[in-house]
Amino acid sequence: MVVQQESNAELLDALAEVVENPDPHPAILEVLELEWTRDGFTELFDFDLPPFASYYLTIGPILGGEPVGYLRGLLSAYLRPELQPSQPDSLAFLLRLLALLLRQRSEDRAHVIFYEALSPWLGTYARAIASFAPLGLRRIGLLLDEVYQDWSKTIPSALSLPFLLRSAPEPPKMKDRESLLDSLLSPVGSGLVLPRSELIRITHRHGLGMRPGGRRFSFQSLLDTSPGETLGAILETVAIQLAWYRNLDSPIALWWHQRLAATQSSVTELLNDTEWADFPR
Amino acid sequence: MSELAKLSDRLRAKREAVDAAGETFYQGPSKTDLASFPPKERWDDWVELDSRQWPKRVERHSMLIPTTCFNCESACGLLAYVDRNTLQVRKFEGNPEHPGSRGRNCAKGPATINQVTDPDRILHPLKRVGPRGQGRFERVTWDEALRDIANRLRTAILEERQNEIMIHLGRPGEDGYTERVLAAWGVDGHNSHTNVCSSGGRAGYQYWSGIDRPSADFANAKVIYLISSHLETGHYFNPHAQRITEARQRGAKLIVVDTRLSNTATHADLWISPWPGTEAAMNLAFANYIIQNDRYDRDFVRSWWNWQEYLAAKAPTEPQTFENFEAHLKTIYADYTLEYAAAETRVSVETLQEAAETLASAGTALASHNWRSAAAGNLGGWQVSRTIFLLNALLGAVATTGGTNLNAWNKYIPRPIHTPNHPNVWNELSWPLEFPLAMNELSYLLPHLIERTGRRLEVYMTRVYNPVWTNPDGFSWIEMLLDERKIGCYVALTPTWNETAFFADYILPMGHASERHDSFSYEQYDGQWLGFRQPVLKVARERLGGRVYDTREANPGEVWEENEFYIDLSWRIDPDGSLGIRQHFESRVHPGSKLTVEEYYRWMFENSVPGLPEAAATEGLTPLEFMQRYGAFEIQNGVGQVVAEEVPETELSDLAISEFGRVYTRAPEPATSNIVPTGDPSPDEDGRRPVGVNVDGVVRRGFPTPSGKLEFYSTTLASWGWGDYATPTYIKSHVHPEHLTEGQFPLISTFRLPVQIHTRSANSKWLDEIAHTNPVWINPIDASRLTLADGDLVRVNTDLGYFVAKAWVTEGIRPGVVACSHHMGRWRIGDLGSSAMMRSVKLEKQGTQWGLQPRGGAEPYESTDPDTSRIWWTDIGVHQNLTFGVHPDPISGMHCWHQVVTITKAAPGDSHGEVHVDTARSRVIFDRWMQLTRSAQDVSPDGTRRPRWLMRPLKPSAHAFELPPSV
Ligand code: SF4
Repeated sequence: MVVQQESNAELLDALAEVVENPDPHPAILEVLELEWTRDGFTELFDFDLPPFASYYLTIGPILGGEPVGYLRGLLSAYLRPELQPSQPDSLAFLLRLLALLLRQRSEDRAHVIFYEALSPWLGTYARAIASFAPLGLRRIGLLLDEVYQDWSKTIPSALSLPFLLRSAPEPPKMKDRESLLDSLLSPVGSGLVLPRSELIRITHRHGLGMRPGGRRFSFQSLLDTSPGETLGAILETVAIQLAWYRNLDSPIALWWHQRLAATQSSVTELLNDTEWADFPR
Repeated sequence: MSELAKLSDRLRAKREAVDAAGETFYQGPSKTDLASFPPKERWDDWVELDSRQWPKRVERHSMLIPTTCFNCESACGLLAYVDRNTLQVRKFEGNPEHPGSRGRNCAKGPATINQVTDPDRILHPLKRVGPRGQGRFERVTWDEALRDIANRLRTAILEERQNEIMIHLGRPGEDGYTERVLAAWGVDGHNSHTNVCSSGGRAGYQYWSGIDRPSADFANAKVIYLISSHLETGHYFNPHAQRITEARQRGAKLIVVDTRLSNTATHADLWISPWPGTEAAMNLAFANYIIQNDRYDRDFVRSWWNWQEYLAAKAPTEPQTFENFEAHLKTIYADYTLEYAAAETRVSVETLQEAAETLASAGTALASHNWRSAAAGNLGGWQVSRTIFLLNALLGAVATTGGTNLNAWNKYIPRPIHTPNHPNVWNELSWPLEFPLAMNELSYLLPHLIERTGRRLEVYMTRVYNPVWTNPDGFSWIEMLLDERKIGCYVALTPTWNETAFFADYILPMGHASERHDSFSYEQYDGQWLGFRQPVLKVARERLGGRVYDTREANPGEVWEENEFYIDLSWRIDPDGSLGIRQHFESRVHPGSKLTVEEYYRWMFENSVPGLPEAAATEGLTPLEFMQRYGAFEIQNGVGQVVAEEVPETELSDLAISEFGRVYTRAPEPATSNIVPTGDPSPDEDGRRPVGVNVDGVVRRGFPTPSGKLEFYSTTLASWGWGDYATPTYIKSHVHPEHLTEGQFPLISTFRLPVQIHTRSANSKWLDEIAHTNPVWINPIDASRLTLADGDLVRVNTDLGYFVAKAWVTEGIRPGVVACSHHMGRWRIGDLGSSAMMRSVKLEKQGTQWGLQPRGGAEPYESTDPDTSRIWWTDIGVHQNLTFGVHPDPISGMHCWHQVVTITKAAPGDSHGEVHVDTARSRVIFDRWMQLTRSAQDVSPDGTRRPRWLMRPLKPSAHAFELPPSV
């Protein structure tokens, strides 16, 4: 069954513009009802939630790696190699590509691109923006979520999980401090999206001390100084994010929900472990 | 209608309205890649958060002004981030609009900011105080310095002592600029550094094609064959490296030949480590493999090689047919079996077999490159490039997609506003009779040539060059510079302190990458582009409405740019125009007044760069404004096989065709604005110019060689006394095992470190922190034989003396060979110079015995830059070149860098960095190598000093080419 998406090319182009252009034309902001600040844009897309699939689908996380290799292969069926950007997993690029395919009346191809390249992570990403973005920009997340829901209707129910989730790395076993960090800081590892702004919020709310620095460094400093409180706060965040996935009929939502639930039990187990203080660093 | 659909409709309506108003609704990402670079629309006011203010979010507003890196000749595009409030350069990053570098740089590009802000840099003209070489200077005005220098130059010219004027060039600035200055003065005084650099590589290409430089299409190659550490260190060519990387991502095979495990070799599919100097034997074995297995491109060889001339010379009584030539081809290299090459190179037959098969399978997509490396290290090294190009010539991989082109077709030098005739004199101090075929000036022999001929220089200028440190035999240079009878006045034009400048009479501060104008173009892919270097603070001020008349007003201190400097100097030499010099430095818009640099480039960009005026007009800019805004312009992409182009009818008139198919015409040469130098074959006896070559009945453009074809057989070499080397061959190096005795090693001294660049980077603190020393690489087998451990001090004994260095025991070098990198061991006399990378030394002299005694190493010091107090390293290596005798190759003129050395443990009391040399030995070595030469006096077939068709930076009149009657 072909579902006619309502989020047509124009909206896709506009959303692409606002996730990669720090100075979009004011007319776009007016129509999308965004209260734009340039530092908000930097905070959101450069520091907190980079708009690249690989960031949500790799352990580390890293920009690049397997997801990019896979997308390159997929895209080579549609785009000559020299036309492919260096980061084909960029949300802006993928939204523009969908818009282009719609304009070319290549809906079938657009559906494939959505299913393979966007569906594995866009829903999670959209909700993360709606939760963590600076207030004036949260609407970007709401709009992306609506687009995601709309396009999700095009995925035939018989289809299995998209390849990028089927081949997703296993969650790192939380056997030491490093693998704990790997897991909790990598959305694909834990199901959890934990941007820097959320760490800062946790710090303030629980009166903890965090050393300024990169996200990993800061999170590690929290674990070093207040391990119990930090993990307790993380469990609160996990509980909130479990509620992002209400429609568990969708295999994709179910996948993310299961990762989060597994994280919830691992972290709880860790907290109950009396030897937590000796957790190898 | 759903909410999403309504939103889309509203967006569409808005977009149509905004676009109709001439604005861009969806501005999209920068042209290059999403958001990798600031999009050019926002270069006037680019906003970044100040990293030092974190966690506060403080905006910094910059103007992004393009210029070009000055650290190596790749000329990568840079963007200077000029702070709009302070009008200071904050940083340099890549220029995404540059078609060659495409926004990328090596570490040395962004480190330009260190050079600009170096607390020890030279900011004002300095004049020596006391005797030369004491390292004491006082500040003088530009006017005072220029008056004295111009007066000396004018007097020398008036008294017809033109040959007492010489400018010695290091880092290239604008293509041909200094040559034109000297031509305007009527002086044959151009002396380039090329014979210590790339002459060997150039000569091999020139004898094939009339063009001295390859242009490999790395990006599209199937097989990349490098006899160099080109990818990262050897030729430090980032624009090439990025294309090699792309090719590899697409599956191209990379073969790297380097005795040493270079960074490049670590990326190779096949690394071959031959005994130094045997590379040509290996290439010939590969060629033989291709020939014996009939894997060569028959049609290409038949059409484009001058095989007819080969047969006419070598087998005049046999049938002059291509089939007969093929029969000869099968025998010429038959002795170069893989087994022979394995014995010479000491590389396994299996490895050579794998390389041979890979190369043979490349077809027309073989991108090969040799530039310095083996061509610069060995006696006969020029045969390394001649034999590597033989592989391309066999496979037909010449100017093909993925093959190897010649640079003249991938380069564009726009005709400037004035082009003076070249001089009527010949300077034997740079072009001695013994080297009629030398690729470039014998600049590094200057002290010996002055000593031998008894001549002198009234004014000797170095331009961003440091011969005492860079050249071999530096103490002979010091002896020459200290002798005021030999050098009347030495002027160092330099942006940084250097060892030679300590012996100068005047030190004149020149600009770095962001402080000077130049235009240039290099071969980096199958296209042609023009880059523009500019003083960014001048441009910034002008963009804000100011007016800057002279770059000194905008540059730090009184730092000047060369173009304005030479215009001013030339006016001072010829103030009333009576010498005919001034006319070449006058405005066309305001005749009789001084040419401004702005007019110079305005004229060039408006008249000599095809497509630029039109491209600029589409953006509402003048051509000059376009170049100021974007820093580069791509003239053509996809030049293709120019040699095979049919010559148009309009150029064919009253033709004469030689026995071997060279076509001459009386039709005048069409005007061209590209003045890139190439070989310049002579007219026929009736004065017709060579226009092309007859290939199967069609007149095609051909190569700029006497035959118009690729010269497998060089009639030039044959007729100038070197018949044995007329075809590509193997010349055994001076470091061949046959020439070594027990305990001797070849020393490889030519390699570079990726982040340093000769003497210019010693004031880049970021680079110094990464790389600051040069231990001697020695294989564990040799180390154990000599009972050496890692870090032990060793004496490296050369022909002239010895230096003391640390041993680095590593598998990265093959047994029996040692290596020590370039760039290091910088020194200074007294307190001047960069303390981070130049150690204070004491120079000692007793007769011809010289010693360089270090006084400590690098150390922290107080300056305006707090980082200088954080210097944590002390070891800055050793200046090995001081201990090298001069080794001129008798044909190419290249200094053959490899040394034959012995290694001994350091003696008690030896200190790291110490150097001892006897300059009497320098003269012995000079004389020994001069005996290999064949003077034009003995071999010239036509009474000239040099074949006139060969390239020469300044090409004097025909009269000057004649051998002097006194000889
Ligand atoms: S390769 Fe490096 S040093 Fe050379 S021009 Fe480019 S950035 Fe500068």
